[in-house]
Amino acid sequence: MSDFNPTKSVDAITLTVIWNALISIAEELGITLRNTAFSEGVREGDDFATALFDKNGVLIAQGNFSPGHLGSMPFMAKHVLGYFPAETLKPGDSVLVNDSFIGAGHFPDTYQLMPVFDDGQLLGFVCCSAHQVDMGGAAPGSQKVHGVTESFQEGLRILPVRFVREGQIDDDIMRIILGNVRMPEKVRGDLLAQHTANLTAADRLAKLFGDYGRDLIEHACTIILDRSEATMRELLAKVPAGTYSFEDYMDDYGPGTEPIKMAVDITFSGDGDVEFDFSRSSDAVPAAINSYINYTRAYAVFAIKTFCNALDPQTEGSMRPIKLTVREGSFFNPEFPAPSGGRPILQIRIFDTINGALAQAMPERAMGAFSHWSNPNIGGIDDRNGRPFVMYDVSLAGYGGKFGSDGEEAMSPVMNCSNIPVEVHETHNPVRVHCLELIPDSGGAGRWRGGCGLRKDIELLNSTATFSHLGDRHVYPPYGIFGGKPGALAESILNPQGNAEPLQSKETRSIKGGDILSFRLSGAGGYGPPAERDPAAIEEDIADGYVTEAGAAEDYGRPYSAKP
Amino acid sequence: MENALRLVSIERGRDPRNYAMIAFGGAGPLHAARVARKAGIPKVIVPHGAGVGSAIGLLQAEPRLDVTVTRVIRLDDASAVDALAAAYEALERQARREIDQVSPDATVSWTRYAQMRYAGQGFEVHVDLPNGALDQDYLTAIEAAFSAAYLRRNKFVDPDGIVEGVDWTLVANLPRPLPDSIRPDDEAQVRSDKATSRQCWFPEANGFVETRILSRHDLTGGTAIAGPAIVEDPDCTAVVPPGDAVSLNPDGHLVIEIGQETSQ
Repeated sequence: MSDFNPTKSVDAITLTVIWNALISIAEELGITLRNTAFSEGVREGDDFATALFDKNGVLIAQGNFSPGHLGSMPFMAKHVLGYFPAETLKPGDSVLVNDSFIGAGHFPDTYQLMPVFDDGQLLGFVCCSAHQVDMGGAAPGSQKVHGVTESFQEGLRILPVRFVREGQIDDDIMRIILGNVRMPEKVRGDLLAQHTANLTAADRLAKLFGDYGRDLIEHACTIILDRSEATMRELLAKVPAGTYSFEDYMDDYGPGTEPIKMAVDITFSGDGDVEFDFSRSSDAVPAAINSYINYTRAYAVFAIKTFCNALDPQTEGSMRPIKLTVREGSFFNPEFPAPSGGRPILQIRIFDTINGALAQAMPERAMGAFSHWSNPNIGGIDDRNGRPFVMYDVSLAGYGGKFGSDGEEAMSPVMNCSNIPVEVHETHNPVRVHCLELIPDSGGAGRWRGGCGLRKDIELLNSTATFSHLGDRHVYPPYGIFGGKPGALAESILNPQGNAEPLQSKETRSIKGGDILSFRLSGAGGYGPPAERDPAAIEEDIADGYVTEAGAAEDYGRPYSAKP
Repeated sequence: MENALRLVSIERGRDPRNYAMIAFGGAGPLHAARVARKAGIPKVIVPHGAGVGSAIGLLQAEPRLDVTVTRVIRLDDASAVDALAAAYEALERQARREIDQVSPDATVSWTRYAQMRYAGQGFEVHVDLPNGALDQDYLTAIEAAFSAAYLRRNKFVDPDGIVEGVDWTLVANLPRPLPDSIRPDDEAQVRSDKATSRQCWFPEANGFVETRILSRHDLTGGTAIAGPAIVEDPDCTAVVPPGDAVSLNPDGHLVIEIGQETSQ
């Protein structure tokens, strides 16, 4: 904690106004990014994040966007400033990076960090990340898991480069990037959107400094960091001291491979510190699904915020009491060139693993495991215009049952993304979605039932395409807690009305026109013994279609019928 | 009310101490001074006609008709001029048809605007378009209008970007049928002769206090009256709690200065 000088004290209203102004700049940065982006994932799916840093690269404020990107921000900024010390940066410069270790753990996430100056003096930095629709590599979308054994197969790796020099975008760097990606127009559009968004935020940040003066803002930032650290420590100190452990398994890392053990030991000191240790987990795997340390940490921080109800805005201060220990070379702390393109499907699993451990400490804040979401990429050359397409999909299913309520469906678990509307996919890609529905009886039974799985059937309307699947929970179902039942297993099926060939959850294969990919996501885990469920709730479930009469009889031990 | 005020000020990073509050609606001026004091806002303005602002606006606004069509037209497309001309001709026919039904003899002046973006984006910016013949030069002019609007909002333009319009709007502006200004209280001056003060209960004073009852016209001349006071208008009533002061500015608006000693 820094020394607080009462003679320089900032009054409460001014502090609150400055704090909220910083957050609103970060929020508006995201709105501009969304409004100017080209890819569906960024402009519809909100797959991005934003941040403001002080002149030393310390995280001061963030917009409310994707946690995996958000939690990586402080470490990304420190690495970038290692390459570009502040004194080497000039007004109008901006640094671009997508390295998995420096950034958010896989190449599609590009960060742009822009210094903000006033009259030659560095005030701070604005930053945004965005998930690019493609960064080259083995398969459309750059998230192919199976068969990718090192990062060099995953596309273009950009260590920090000065992408914009004194206001001029470096056309040479842009040409290198666009020459290596499948959808250069969208990637160019999103890179420009990131730059545009940073420019608008830099303008506002400079104005804020102008309005209040440099000394006052810097002093306010010190207070913001100390306050958010103190608040987090206060919340962490309420958790009973001790070590809480849990293990869960990913099905595999591709067809014919072993399960991945995900283990965590979480130790609360009792006086405001918490340490995560993921070292007992599997070694890094030779497939593109490893979780680089920034990503692991980002979701550990997210889980702590969720469990401790830490609703204050995230800053570097609020992250200070959270320590991470992860064995080097393990699944949760791999070393370059470990491949990681498919790591997006890990975020709910990192959370689920932590949830299993923290349930012991905070049973009323825990929940059954989530349905596993599905993130397939379907890409190729569109027959209609000869241009490449990539359908980057996000299918979201159930939340686990939680203390006091059943799990909801079709909302984003832990990553703040949105469903991409069927209409948007069908407009931009040669596909037709035949079915998008909840699967009855798939939610884990319990005193509070897990949310249902989701079925989505997608037909290819193109001669051929490459399909990279990214799912899980086809082997190990989402667990229930405190006696709640697990959710139903997921299934992926090619041509369900033809020969109904089962698809492996991380396979990549060619598909042809008329093929229908049918994704049936797992149901989420239940909370508490099914015997304790309110019979009226079971009758309502039948009336609403979440559960069938046959399913209810099996799960709850006697016949039920729909609530009249 | 205080929380709602917080949401639109402090939560957006705007310091209420730097703003004046405008109170309107029949009941707004009853509460405004008290809310302002809690939020640290130094001044409340009660415009004339505060209770009937929407009605005045409706009577005073220039009638206009907006007609819009959705046509995605890329400005680099060879058929862009024809497509745009066809769209605007159809819009003008539609507007004429509707105006003829209500005001066939009106002299109409036309303006245009559009929702435009770089081809490939998913969200548009509002662009006020110039008037003029719909020819090739016009495309250049609307591209320039787009670039200016985009730059103003986003601080950046893409010199290689391809611009497209999505929604095209034609506005028919009809002449104003009413005088420029309506002062509802000009004709209905309320006199406060019959009662100049009465006992009112103010929480600030922790009980009943003798309170001046005024009409807005009693304040003419600019002298400030110290609260507690109640200013009665035909359309609304403004409460001036103890510690605050009210005056009438030259434009006929009440100005309540929130007392320094209680504004924290």
